[in-house]
Amino acid sequence: MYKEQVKRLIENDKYWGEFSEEKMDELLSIADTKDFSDVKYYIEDTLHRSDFIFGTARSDFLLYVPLDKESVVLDCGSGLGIHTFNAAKKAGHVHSFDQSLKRSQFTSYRKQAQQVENISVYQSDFKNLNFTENKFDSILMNGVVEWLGEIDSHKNPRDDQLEVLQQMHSYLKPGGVLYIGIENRMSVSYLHGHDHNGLRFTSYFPRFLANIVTKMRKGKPYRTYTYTYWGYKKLMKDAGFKEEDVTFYIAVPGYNLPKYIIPFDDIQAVRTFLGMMAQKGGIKGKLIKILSTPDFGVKIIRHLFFSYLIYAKK
Amino acid sequence: MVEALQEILSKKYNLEKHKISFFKLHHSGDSPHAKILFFVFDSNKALGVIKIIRDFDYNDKLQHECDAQRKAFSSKIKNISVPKILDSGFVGKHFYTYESFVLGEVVGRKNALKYVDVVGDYQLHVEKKKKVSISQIHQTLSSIQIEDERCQDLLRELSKKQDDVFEGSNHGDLTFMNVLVKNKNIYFIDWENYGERTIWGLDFVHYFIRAHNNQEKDVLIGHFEKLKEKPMKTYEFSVLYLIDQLYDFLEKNNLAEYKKVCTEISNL
Repeated sequence: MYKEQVKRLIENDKYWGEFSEEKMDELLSIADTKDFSDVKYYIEDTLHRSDFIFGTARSDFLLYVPLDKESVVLDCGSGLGIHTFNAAKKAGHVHSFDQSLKRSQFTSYRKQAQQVENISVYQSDFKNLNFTENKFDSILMNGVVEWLGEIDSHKNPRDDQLEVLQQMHSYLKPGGVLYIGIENRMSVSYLHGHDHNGLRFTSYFPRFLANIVTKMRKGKPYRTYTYTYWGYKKLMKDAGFKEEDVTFYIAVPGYNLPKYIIPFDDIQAVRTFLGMMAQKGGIKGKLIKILSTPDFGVKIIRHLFFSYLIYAKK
Repeated sequence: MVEALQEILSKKYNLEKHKISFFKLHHSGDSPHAKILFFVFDSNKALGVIKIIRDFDYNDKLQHECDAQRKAFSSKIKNISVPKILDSGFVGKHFYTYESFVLGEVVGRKNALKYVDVVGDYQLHVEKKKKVSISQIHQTLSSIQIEDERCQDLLRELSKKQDDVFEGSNHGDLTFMNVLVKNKNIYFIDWENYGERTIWGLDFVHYFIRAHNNQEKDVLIGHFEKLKEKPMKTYEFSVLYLIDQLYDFLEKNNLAEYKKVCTEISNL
């Protein structure tokens, strides 16, 4: 029943996710034959992904999205539906889509199992969405924009990203808010972590160099563009949002679990947060304390955090 | 929420004159009923903390904490401070509290033992109220069908105890994570479980057990006997240990029954 409830706007299918496709099949098979409690148990006990699916802290970015019982929300690349369900508690209706059929089916299953009425589930990519202009009060893109270059319909990945953001701009009602959760290209965490292509340091490289390295090491071009603060500002402006209507927050430890949400443009707030970090002591603490004493130190350090929450009002 | 928070602050401060900032400081967990804290400050000076519950369906939890904290603040517990509630009310559907901010160090596991005496001293100053018979407590706790073996052992042991215990007000979840130290002042925070375990002495025993890493009862009694100033008799410690463990077991395994038992025991 729930499988038929997914509105399929595309025919092709591609699976990716936090766990393997075999595990996803197993999950759906439990959903078909057993109770919701068994599904939850499998997620908790075998997949160890309970917080990714049923958690609430990962959706704390919603605290900064204006939502009420009249709000119509679009959750893009909704995965297994965590933000869809958390938004549905506060909003009037949530339209939720993912490119993967199986992931969309799981969202649909959960909607049925938990008897949530105010959610519509689609399997779709961005190109095949057929919503009218000015439909949504809020659009959620958590961990999505960096992957839009993979659409690969333009030579430059930024153009793919821009096209979708312009589409989202048109979908928003005047006064509506587009939320984006995304990495900062210049984050210091890339010194010891990996870029989206699985390689180290490519985020810092000029694009042409990142492209050469990715082609050599991975056999495909570099298309998962992330940006600096200024890069995102420019991108949002080009997508049709006025500069003064785009607000940036630093998310710590990251946009996927925003325990601390600090307004980027509020130097006082960033300094206070850095002061708290410095209190933890150690070499890192001492370094932060020294660097954040002058204003320009704070202004520099705020560009080095891992990720941003961006709220753009139409 | 941003606009709503600004609305709260505009009631308290002249936002045209003062540049007041705030940011999401923390959350107490992943559940819908976890507390979310927003840190409020002015030119690097901490002004306070706004607390809400993530899902407003659980507002009552924060309301309970707010009442408890006010009560604890006004009762002026000797040597112990409590963050002051500066304001409370509703913002949209969320109940909020705005309280003074204590930028202190959480005692934490590492320093937990250092503060056993402080907690003991606090316990000594909590008034013992009316007597409660252990047989009645045992009866209430054993009215719940629990098949767990350890739980049955605890109940059996409790049934052998004779003397009475006393009713008394308590924090309800006094652990090394809920004690803050700032300039040698000790603060008790997180009052959401206030009034749940209304037996005198349980705060100290609860803290003591966790500070000693949940060791076996006999080992704990050994540690307890080494204390210079004991807030209670060894016998009382031993009884309260059993009650604390039973409460813990119920809270973990059957929250609804736990709440019921708490109410019943507080009415004995």
